Amino acid sequence: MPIGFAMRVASAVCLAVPTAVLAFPEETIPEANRNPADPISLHVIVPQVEIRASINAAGGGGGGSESIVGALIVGAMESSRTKKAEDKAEQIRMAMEGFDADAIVKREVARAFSGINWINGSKASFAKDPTLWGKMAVLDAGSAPQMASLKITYEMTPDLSGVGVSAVVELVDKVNPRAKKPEKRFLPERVAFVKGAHTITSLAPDSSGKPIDSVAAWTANDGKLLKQTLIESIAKVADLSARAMQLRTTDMAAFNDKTLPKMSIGWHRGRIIEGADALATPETSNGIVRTSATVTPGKPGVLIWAGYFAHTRTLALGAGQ
Amino acid sequence: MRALLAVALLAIPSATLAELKPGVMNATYAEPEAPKLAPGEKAPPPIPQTCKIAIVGIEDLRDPANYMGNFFDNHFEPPADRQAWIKSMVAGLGTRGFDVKFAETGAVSAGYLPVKVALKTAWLDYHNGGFYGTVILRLSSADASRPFEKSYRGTFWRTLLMATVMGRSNDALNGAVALSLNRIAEDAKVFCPN
Repeated sequence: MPIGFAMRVASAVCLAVPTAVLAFPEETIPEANRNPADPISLHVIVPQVEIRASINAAGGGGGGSESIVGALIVGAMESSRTKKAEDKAEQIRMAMEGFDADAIVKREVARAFSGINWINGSKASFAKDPTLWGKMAVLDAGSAPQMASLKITYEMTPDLSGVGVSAVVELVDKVNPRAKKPEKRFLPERVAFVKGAHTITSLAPDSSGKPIDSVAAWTANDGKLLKQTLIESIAKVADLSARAMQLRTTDMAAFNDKTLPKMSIGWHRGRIIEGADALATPETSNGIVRTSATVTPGKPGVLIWAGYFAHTRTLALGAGQ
Repeated sequence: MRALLAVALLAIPSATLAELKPGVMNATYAEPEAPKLAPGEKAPPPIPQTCKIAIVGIEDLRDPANYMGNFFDNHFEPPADRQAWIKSMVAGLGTRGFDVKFAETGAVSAGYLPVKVALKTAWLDYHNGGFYGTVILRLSSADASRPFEKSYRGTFWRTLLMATVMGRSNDALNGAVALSLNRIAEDAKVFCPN
């Protein structure tokens, strides 16, 4: 049996075993690493040049559409459906011409991390390259003992009724005795810390019951509503990313309190930690488990903890136009 | 979910970190294949080259210059000769109603509008099970008496199903260039005096 195949079989077996068996990064960044005298460097990555449209049946929005499973599902879809969806997505891309998401990301990340003196947010580097090799080059060129890479992506939900922005922050040690090769410092079980933050903003249903033309709503006035939503969403994930890096074990205990109600946001499922009063239909839930609840338009939204942050809010048409 | 991931892991081609190399894009742009004609259908006649432009400047404004996107931990690079690469894209206007002359160093022939071309974006995004090519070409007048400047984008998706990474990434990029050129052609009144 070829070695490569054997390794894949072994990896597949590892995926099938309970997660507790495997080594994982720290849940929070240890106090010893929060050292203003030797701050963590910040490397921001935006690996796209225009907004993505997830034309896949896997659902969910936000991150994950780069996954192999997503690729297999999407690859098997009939091309006419893809073409139809693509035609709509193209209208959105046309409306977003000239929108400089990179500049917004740089500005909002600098703002969100400005109050953390043990992360060098004001001197954050920026790149388009999310590959292991790209990140490794930045880590080795710097003098900081640890580098936090913050990858931010943005995309439309599969039905184009919502926009999602996702961030993944990954803390990597420059010197890691457990990594036998330099590139192995970036293996999931070798990184010091990893957390995600997602936000999904959806258009509220029409109160008259008529179906909403989401594409028309997003693209009206040269995409004004979509551009504004993206700016706010990027700011939100930048804030949540900064918050994730500052979490302490007491925060984790509070977030995992079993008395907190649960909610699903796309395929993110976790306990509501903020904004439970924004749910539009609490009476339809049993008070403990709230699934598929809607969020009152215009409210700041709901934040859940699913081992990472996931946030959702709803926009009433006309509010931002 | 874990079971699905396990199955997917077994299905993907094997590659170790050491095997990864940058994917260098084809040296020149190639027109995407025309749709197959139905039985009895005639091919459309060539578009007459009525819009005369002379390319007096070619610029590569992409940032970063040596990076065009990634496929997992492998990245794409542009070909070594960027001038020839962009030139081949602009030459595609020849089948879209333009009489294109390249005059980067010489004098512009009478009747030809001097134009500068810049490649602002050439990008490959692996998404939805395939590659999205995105291209933005900027055209600007080099004739002070007839000023204009406009950018034209194109995005084109090609599935990776039953195909190679480099084959489909080049297809996606070529498709995006073609769409960008089509939009330039649709907007020809901006450049053409007649």
